[in-house]
Amino acid sequence: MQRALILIPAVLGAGFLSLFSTAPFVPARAAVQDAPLLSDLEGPQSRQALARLQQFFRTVPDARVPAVLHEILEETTAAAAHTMILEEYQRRKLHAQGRATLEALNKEHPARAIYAIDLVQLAVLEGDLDRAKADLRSAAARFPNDTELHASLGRWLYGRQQTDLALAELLRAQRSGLNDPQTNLVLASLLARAGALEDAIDTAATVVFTPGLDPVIRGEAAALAGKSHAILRDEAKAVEFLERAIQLSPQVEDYYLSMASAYQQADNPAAAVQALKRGWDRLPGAPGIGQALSRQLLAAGAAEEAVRVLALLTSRHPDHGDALRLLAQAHRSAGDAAKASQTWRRLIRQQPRYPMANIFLAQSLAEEGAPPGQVLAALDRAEQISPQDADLYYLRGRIFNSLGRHQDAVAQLQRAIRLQPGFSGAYYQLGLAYQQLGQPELAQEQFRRRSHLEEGTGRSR
Amino acid sequence: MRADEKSDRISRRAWFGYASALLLTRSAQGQAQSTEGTPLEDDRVSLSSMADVEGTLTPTDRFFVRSHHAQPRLSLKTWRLRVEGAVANPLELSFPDLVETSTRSLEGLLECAGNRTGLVSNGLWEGVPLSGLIRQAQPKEGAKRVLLQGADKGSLVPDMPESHYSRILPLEKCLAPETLVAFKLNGQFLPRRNGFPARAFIPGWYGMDSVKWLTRVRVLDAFDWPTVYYSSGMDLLYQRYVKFGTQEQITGRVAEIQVNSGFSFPPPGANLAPGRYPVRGFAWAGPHRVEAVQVSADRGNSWSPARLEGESRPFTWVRWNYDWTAPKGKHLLMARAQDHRGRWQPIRRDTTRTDGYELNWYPSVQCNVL
Repeated sequence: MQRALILIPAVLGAGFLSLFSTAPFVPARAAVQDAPLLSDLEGPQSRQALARLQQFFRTVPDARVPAVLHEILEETTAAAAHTMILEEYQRRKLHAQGRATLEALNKEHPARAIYAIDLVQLAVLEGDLDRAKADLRSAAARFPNDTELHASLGRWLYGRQQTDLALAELLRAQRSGLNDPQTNLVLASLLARAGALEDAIDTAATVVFTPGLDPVIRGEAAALAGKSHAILRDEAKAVEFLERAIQLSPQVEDYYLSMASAYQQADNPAAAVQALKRGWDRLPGAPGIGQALSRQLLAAGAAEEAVRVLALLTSRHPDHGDALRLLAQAHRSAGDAAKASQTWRRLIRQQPRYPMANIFLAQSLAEEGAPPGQVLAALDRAEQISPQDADLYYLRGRIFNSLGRHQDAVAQLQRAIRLQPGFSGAYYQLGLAYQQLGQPELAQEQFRRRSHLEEGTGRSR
Repeated sequence: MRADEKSDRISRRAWFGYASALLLTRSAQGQAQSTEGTPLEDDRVSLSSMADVEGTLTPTDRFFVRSHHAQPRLSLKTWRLRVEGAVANPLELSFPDLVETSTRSLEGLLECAGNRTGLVSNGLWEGVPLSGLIRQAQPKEGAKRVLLQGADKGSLVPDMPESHYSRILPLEKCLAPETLVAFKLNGQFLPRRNGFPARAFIPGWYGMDSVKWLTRVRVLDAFDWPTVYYSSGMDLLYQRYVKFGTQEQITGRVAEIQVNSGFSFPPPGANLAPGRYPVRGFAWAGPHRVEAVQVSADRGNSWSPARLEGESRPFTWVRWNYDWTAPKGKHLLMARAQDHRGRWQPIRRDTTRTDGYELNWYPSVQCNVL
């Protein structure tokens, strides 16, 4: 039987009556019979009733809390009310009293699963995970087939970031017949995270094929199954599930990206590009798809198409640094060094401390045929930001070599080598500088070092 | 089984055990040489590089793998761990039961008994102490050994009957507080290739006893000699084979990890410019502490002390470094470690040993200074 919150005056005294002013001060058990408040916690007015309960807690002195809360815990099984009471114990640091109350109630009402849940929650709130585990095992032993108990514990633990324990409880719920699709989706994601990919796929599939369920949830489940198949290297199944995810929820960018990854993994870059183009058509300007598509296009040598994609992307997201970097590279690949330099300048205005931008700008200016002074100025700015970058000294050495300033080139290239002893291109440039300075032996030594470094690696810079 | 029956069984199978041990070791080493740092198509071997270790923990995806059989695919819905045999109260634990048991975390090193390079890694393990489970099962009087069995199955050598991978350990080691049924590595659930969902972790002992994909803990009394274990030849693996004249004999079981060390920098065959370099590496000594590490840059003619980075602890490794001024030329750097009992790594392999285990002689790395 549900009784009313109005019983509380008997425990507290009349001081709090202003909150529940409809009742005169009368002894509790007699007064509560017809009062509706505790039953409201489980009825359509539950939200308001909870708010009043929370307001009421603020008026209860510590000394009276155990008695008050004991009565409420006994009188209602509304989970939200119990959670609020546990949080009240925690707020007042009354864990021991809370535990004593709950253990007493647990003993008194052995068939009520709610107290088993409360004990676990209290232990977690207290930060005592060993105790929480013991309480969970005890609950599992007493209520092995109570699906709702394990499911609600699993959901609550998941909300508290206790993902290992959440997984354990949801597995128990599943074993006893869990059929709530949203909870199954949580379980599937925990299983996937734990590496139990086949289990994750099986569980997600039950959600995908639940008729009448919100397509967004079914789409999430299909995507999870698809990604799990991809990790298991079953790309055909991955594509099948991801296709279903796209059909169920075509506005989710991640599904097109996952589909493209699955094709890429299956060594089918053309299909990967098609998946991304499909996503780009559906969600024009989507940053993840735009970047992935432009990378694929650049890898396939379609630089001008990549420029078009990135131009749209950077017009929609003008502050997207990665997209600007890609756009500069795309311009360079398309043979338009001037636009590449322009894009690097735009990025430098946005991110003046980005260390590589001035080096790339310098490279681009050099390719553009800009006056060496401009290139060197860009490198000077790079040096102020990132003085330990071997690339900038290498590039400066190259510029000095091209300007006939071979002695200056030697100093720069030696610095690049000090910073990066395996920098074979720097040895080559240093060799060229020595050659021009009339020191053939030193030049030959640099060329030999370069050959040695590149021996068997197939690398050259 | 009578003692004379047992000795007869061993003598009849000695050739077999020896052959299969060599086969396994050579197979691992052959693969090791050709596949440094990359997983093979064969999911039974993957090497680990000390160069990938920042701090002391090997990243989980770089942890070495060495298995006898293919990785089983286990479902968390159906996986169970049974604790049975000579016990009064047999247990059957599901994955939730395991996760909801109090755990212990321990930083510990795992090394393959046949490691020369690439078959050693160090991780943070979390699991349930095996001692707690065995005590809960209440071992009967007379129980002395424990069989740990994995879900992986196959023939140890071609044409022999299939059996689950299993190891028999002394009960005492299973009751040691550090011995775990581990289900997490570096804060994440175990990857499948490292024993998902749970494996034994026997700190201080070579990796073959840390049975992966653990499903069964069978407590054995003096009369329990599991037939499959002995008929499959499992009992003859991981033994020390020593040549006495023209005879070979088993002189004991390989178990405790021997003092050892390795280089993380420079990599083998490195090309370096002349200058000063911090030569780095790791040293370990199984259940003991590392006392010292020394480095030689002149093929062992002279040795200099390396610095230990932090305090050495049992079961895990300690990082060491040594400042080396590299002159031009080809160099062979060598290292050697000593445990706190005063035992140094040996300079070379004991020539009487004919098995492929405990390969802990001085490590070396060659490099060119240009």
